[in-house]
Amino acid sequence: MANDAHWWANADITADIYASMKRKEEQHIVFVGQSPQLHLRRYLVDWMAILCEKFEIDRHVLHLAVYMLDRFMDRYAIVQESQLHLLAFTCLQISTKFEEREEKVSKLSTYHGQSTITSANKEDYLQMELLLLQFFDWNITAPSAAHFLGYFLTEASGKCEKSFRNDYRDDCSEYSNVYMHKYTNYFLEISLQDHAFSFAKPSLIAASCIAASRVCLQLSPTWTAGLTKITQYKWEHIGPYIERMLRTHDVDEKAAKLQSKEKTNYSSEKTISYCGEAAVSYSRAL
Amino acid sequence: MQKFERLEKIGEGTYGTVFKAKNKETQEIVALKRVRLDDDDEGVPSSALREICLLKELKHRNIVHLHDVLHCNRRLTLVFECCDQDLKKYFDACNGEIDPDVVKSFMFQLLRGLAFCHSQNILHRDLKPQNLLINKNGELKLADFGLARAFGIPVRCFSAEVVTLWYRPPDVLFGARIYTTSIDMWSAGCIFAEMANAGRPLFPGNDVDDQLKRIFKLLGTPTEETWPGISKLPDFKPYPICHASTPLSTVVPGLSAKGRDLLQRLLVCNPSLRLSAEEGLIHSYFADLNPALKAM
Repeated sequence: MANDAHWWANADITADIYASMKRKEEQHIVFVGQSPQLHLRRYLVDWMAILCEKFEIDRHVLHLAVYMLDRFMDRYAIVQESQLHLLAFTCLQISTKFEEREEKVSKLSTYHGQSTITSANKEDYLQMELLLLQFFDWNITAPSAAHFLGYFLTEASGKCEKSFRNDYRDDCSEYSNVYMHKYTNYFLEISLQDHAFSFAKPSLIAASCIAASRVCLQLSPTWTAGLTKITQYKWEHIGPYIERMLRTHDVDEKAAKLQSKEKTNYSSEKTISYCGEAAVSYSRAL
Repeated sequence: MQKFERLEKIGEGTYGTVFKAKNKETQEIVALKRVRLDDDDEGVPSSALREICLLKELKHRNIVHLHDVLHCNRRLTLVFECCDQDLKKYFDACNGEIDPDVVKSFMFQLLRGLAFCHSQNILHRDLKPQNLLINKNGELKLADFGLARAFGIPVRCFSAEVVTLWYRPPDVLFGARIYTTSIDMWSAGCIFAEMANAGRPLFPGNDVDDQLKRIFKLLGTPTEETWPGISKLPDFKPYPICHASTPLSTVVPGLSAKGRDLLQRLLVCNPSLRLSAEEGLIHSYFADLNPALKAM
């Protein structure tokens, strides 16, 4: 992998690819947030996330699927809850077909066949799939925050390797790299759960994930000139999103602490496994 | 479907049959690719879905144009611009002789189409003469994006089951699942040599093992020195050490010294040292290319 990062750091094509991602981002369908079923969105997104975890589906798939879900719900009122499930499932299925390997697609299909949650039959699924694809005019090559985050982190670590300046040295340690990935992935997940983030451009969300992670890791300054250059976002752009992310983080952290306390009361030896990996690493890092 | 009058069958794609057809209103000749939707529970096959989604993005003179996607009767019909033949058929009609200027023109167009794909974050992953279309004006177009993928930075793990054996690069033959634009550049090199020899394939291996032996016999067996990390590839196994002894001038006698230099830079076993499409386009081999073609 080290070799690989090196390859990209030296390739001219990196600039082209980034430009193409930015251009495609501009063509995204705008999110309005006017769905009458917006209150069910969080539940659907969580359900999709669980399916992705269960079948070990790449996070890029979930991001694309949520992009599709948001835009479709914005413009189509779906009354029945079962229809919403079918919609969420179909978004996931299309996105898996586009982003993932063949075997993941069939695993998801098998699940669909057995699932009691969706009562939809084959015909309904087929119709929903075509409706969705036609709604997007087959333009689903939308880069997500996950794409931009990968790019920003690769670029940032590439710049680190080349630089021996003091303010970079801390950032580059093995320790902070591991936690940087942990935290950014966590904030990336948060950005899907709350529809407020769907209004913003994916690149802006990705930049905010990095900044929020730096706050948690107590890296100072939170936003460097290097990161401004790589992401093309200044502090004032990302500020509001960082705040929102950190608020959610606080809530999660409190909940995790409370949970771990409760569990300690019942059985002290099981604390670690109960409070989960996320909670453990956060309290350790802070 | 009443809009089109079906003419003859052209061939078989990664999925579905391709027919030549005439638009009854405009008289325009098109190629129709049919995809049946009721074969399984999975709806639109992923290869068709990717081809449509990616070709919607790729509007370029050296990439086949997707006019429209029609849906009726549990069938999708992809309406493509029609080209007269593919490069394989072009070779068959050559009778073993090919004009070096045509080779240069085709190679330039192949690289230009590829450079565009790569700049749009798309890998073709199945380049071969059958998937390169040639029209009456001598224009070459990349087609059949059924195996194509969008990629990002950093690159993710893909399938190693890609590219037809003869055009598959050594890293993928050794099971590499992390690869980038270099995968297409190897295929482009193989096709370049095949064009220069008027259709004689460069590495017509019978299986993976035979394929690698043929490659190493010509180019020399790569080592950890020439290709750091080679022995860590998933399916790596050591091959007898060969040294590149046959000069390229005997392998591709029809190619000029500059052409051989370009070929040499494409056929590099270590993927990170392989030339990019963009770099290929500015190679001195193309210095005397017809300016009209360059400007096209």
